[in-house]
Amino acid sequence: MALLDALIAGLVLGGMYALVALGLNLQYGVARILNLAYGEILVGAAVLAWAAFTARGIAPPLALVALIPLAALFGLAIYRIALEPLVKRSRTRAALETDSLLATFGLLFVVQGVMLVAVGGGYLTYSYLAVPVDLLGSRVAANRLLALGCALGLGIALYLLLARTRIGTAIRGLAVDPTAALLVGIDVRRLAGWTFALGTVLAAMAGVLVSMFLTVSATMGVLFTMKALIVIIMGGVGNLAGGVVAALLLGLAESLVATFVDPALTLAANYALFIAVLLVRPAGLFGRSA
Amino acid sequence: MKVEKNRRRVVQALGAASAVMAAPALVRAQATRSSIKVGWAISKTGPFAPGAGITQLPNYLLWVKDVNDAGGISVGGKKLPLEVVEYDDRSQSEEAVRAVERLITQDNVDILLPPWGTGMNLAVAPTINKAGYPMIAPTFVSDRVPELVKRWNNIFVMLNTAATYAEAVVAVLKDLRSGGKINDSVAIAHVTDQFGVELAAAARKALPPAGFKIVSDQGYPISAQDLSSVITEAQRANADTFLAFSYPPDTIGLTETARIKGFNPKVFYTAVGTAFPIFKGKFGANAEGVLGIGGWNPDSDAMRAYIKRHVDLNKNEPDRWASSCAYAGLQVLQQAIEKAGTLDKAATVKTIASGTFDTIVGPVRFANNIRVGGWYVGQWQDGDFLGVYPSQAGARPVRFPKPAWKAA
Repeated sequence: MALLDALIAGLVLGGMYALVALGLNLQYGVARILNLAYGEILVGAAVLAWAAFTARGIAPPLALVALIPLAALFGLAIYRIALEPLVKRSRTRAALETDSLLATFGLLFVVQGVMLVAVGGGYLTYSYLAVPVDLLGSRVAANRLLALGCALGLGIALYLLLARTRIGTAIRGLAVDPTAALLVGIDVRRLAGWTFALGTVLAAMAGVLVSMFLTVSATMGVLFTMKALIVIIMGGVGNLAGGVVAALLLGLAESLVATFVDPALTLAANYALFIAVLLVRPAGLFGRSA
Repeated sequence: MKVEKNRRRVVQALGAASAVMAAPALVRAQATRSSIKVGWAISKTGPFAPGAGITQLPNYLLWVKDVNDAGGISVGGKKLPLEVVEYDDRSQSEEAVRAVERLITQDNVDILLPPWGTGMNLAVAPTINKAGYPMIAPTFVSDRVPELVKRWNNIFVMLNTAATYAEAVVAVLKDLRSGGKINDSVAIAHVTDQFGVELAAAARKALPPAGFKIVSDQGYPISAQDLSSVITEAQRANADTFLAFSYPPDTIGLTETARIKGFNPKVFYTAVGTAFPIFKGKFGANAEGVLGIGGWNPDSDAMRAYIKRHVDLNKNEPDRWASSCAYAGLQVLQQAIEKAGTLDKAATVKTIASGTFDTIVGPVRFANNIRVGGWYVGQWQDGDFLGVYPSQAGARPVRFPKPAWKAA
């Protein structure tokens, strides 16, 4: 059935977009760092997963778990060394956005350069869990389903963390107003650092998961950064549930257009939907207007 | 191997207006010269980097090493080793043009090697033409080539026009059909980029006269991350033949999706990337029977030795289409210089145009600046991507049908 096939394909694709966008949403929405090196960090994790699998036969889920502490430390180090000085000196949110943009633009080339030296600029791909799964009569790759499951699981977990826990409340407070957060006794410096680190962890997890079904290369990070930006701006900056909904909508739009109109128009459909949402709701689907 | 600034040469360059480059090159070649400066600008970063890094750059490096190991290129009875100047064009055509201009006017290279890819070659061709360097492009596939080389007679291409490749696969299909092996339905998919659009257009023109019906015809954008709708529609069209005029990431993506979806046409064809070592690496036994653009015939001592040297230096196999052609193009350049006995650009261009050269892929000559021969269609057979069309020495018979995909 064409419609069912398209819907399932759209959800799976949207799940991947959601997964890719989760971490940037935390970094941009909460820690207020517009991290242009986000895609590179994601690809970096994908490259590590590829290397672990092809050289040592380490299964990607294992690599994923192993990467969590590494990515957290890496993210924290980046924040403390490179970004905190910028946070300290910036008076307004806009100033911080410009500064962090420039700093992470530099980071982008550092991470990319390291990857180019380590593995070169070639295409990297491997096969893991690339088995068909029958879903309501439509055949989907198991690794893509796993990515969809992780996106939903992580999205819900993060939602619960933010909505139901004390630390989550503090994070939300930080997102709304860092100065006021300081006044009510939130350790802004530590919390922002850890939120950025958590965003890095999510980027790394997304990288490992997409490496199972996408052909990656060291220089393709910007693709992911762009997609993630579209998703979080459309969903409402800092709103994780909004990001997941926006990602699923984008995936569905792409898949429906590809099936019933023309696959060549998927990108156009993507941006048309993005623009339409912003025209009606300038702060995104679930964003509060500033 | 990077070049140090050479004062003498800078002074010489001051005297030489860029328009009369040939004269000082000649003087240097015979008087003070102790080496030959070879320069290139190629994509080391950006979206073209993977293609350049698989097909072209490894062969530039291998050729420089091979030449220098043998003492150099012999010009006028003296062997001159190669020095290299390299720039990254960052996959941007303006950057490529700037880098090529720098190579010509500031670095004063004696030999200028082309960048990777059709668009990039088109971008730098006018500049290289103005300076008169011979340009043997290993990765330049366009239907505009025959018309362009009339204007730019210093440009030679190792591959062929888009139409040639599309018509070749249609010829293979026609053979299968007249043998009663496939029906007349063909599903087409193509990447919406110059290359894919040109090949698909040529296929659309060539299929109906050969008695085929196009039952599905889909384009998809170059960065498409999910191709399941393309495969699902081709599957629904129930054609015996699936032709994808694709680029490397989507070649992998389409093949993977076809396998997952259990889409098993009798003929499965993908374009750029089918010949790459990663294709075999990823699909293993499932690559068997897949048709694709290009192909090679590795059954000669020269090719076997080339493959070994390539793997030793680059830690990676060459691709089984344009890699060996890229290397052969460099051999042509070297032999033309040696034959002409000079680094004079016009003399070299003339020698290339009229001569026949002994290379790893056999004798190479050009007709109207396009290489005569080469492989247009290949097929994965027993773990190698062998040339099946046109029928010439070394061509393998097409294996039919492509076996159904195995589970993993």
